[in-house]
Amino acid sequence: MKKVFQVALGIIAAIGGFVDIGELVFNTQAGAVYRYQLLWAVPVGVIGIVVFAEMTGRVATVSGRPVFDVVRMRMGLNVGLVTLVASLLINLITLAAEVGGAAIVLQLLFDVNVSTLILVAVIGLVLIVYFVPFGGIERIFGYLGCALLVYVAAAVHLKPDWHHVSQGLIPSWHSSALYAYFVVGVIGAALVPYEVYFYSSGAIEDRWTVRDLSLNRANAVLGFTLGGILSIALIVVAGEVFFAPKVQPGYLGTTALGAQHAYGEAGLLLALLGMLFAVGGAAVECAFSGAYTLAQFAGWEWGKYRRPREAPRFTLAWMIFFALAFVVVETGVDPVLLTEYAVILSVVALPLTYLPVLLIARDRTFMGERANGLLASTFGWLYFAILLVVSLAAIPLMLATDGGAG
Amino acid sequence: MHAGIEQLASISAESALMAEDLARGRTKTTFVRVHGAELSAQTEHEAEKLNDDPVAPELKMPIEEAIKLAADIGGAIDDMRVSPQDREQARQDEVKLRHWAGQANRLAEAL
Repeated sequence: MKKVFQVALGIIAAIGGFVDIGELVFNTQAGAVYRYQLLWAVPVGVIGIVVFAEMTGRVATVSGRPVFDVVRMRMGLNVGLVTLVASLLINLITLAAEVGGAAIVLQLLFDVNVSTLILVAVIGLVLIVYFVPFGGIERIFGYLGCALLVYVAAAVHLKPDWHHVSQGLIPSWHSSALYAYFVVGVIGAALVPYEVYFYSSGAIEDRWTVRDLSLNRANAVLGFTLGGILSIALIVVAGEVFFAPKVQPGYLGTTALGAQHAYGEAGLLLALLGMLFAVGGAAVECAFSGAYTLAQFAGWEWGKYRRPREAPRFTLAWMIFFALAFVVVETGVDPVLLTEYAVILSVVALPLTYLPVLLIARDRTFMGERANGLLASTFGWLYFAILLVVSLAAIPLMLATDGGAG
Repeated sequence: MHAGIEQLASISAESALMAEDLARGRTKTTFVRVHGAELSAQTEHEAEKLNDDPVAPELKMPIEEAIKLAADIGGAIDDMRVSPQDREQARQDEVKLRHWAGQANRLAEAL
């Protein structure tokens, strides 16, 4: 019974923790511009993150080695260093976007100067991360992020044509660069690497053993899949509210307007609350991911379960990440624009961390009987091929469409 | 230029949705003020771009029309921001904003 409860809690946290500013931005835009036609890209991205997260969780649990430990071991110092620098830069851009997003949501709620709210958001997040234990952080942001389920209710409430919705889940193609850009964006928003670095390091933080491998599989498969339903709901709501009047969403407020249109002020407040904790949780994951990758690569002591005194460089690293993100957002850069860059650049760099994890996960000398079986290997290589195509297309498409502007 | 006018149509349509919710008492004052400020600033920015872009003489008229539309749209959004408790005004703004969204779309298609 305790195990079932643990699995359920992990899944709830994963649902609330799945959506970040990337999903809020790209899915709303995709629904507004193409109605349901891009729904199929969500499962493609979700299955990808399930495959990647399950492998990293299993490798971390069996070997005690999280992602960047594996990257350095398998790719060597030079290639590892390039991967590290790329990951840290993308992490910083993503963190800045999430912090900016949290400040915008606070502004929509309280109408206070955004500069002040950026400072409030950063201080609030640093205090939570410093004082709350790892499990508590996961639960606070994961459970309260579930307020975003208002979009699932809204998607049903708005009475879409379910036949058309189901047709959107069948992959289709348009010979348009904008359509291809949104395909890359929707897949990339689901496949953000910081979630995977956080997930695999979390397996070690939570002291998983081989007996927890079923928990790993349940969290990855059910948590991310149910989280994907939120992404689908965001697209359906945007398709219902914004497609017909030809609204091109460019603000987080537009995403919130979709929930308001379905449920009035209550819908708006639930959407804003869910967004605040979803982007706040994503900001914490990003800051930790940056510190994890740096510490794991350099061989420092790391982990939230250690006191700051026992892992001083790790603690200093996540604090510096928050400070740098604060500086970036205070320059006045648009968080939505930052999000688009973060998602596209993440997609480009993803194969660099995916490949070493895939190679280790299938290595029987390293993983023993827990190495990838036929199914995991098939999906693993299939997704490596998909990732390569998507990563090669991402930047040309961003340039060709002027970042989705048309 | 085409993208700028389409953007004006989008802002007008989105503001009409906001006005509809405001007229029905289904929103929050802070949301109308903050999100309205974003949309209003974007309208002004699009008008500035349309004004500054060098264009052929035959396109001068539609550009002037688009700039006038931008001023009207921004004005209606600002009215909502100033008095978000005025539902009757929001109802009138909703009708006007929908009309301007259609007008901007037609203008963009005609270019």
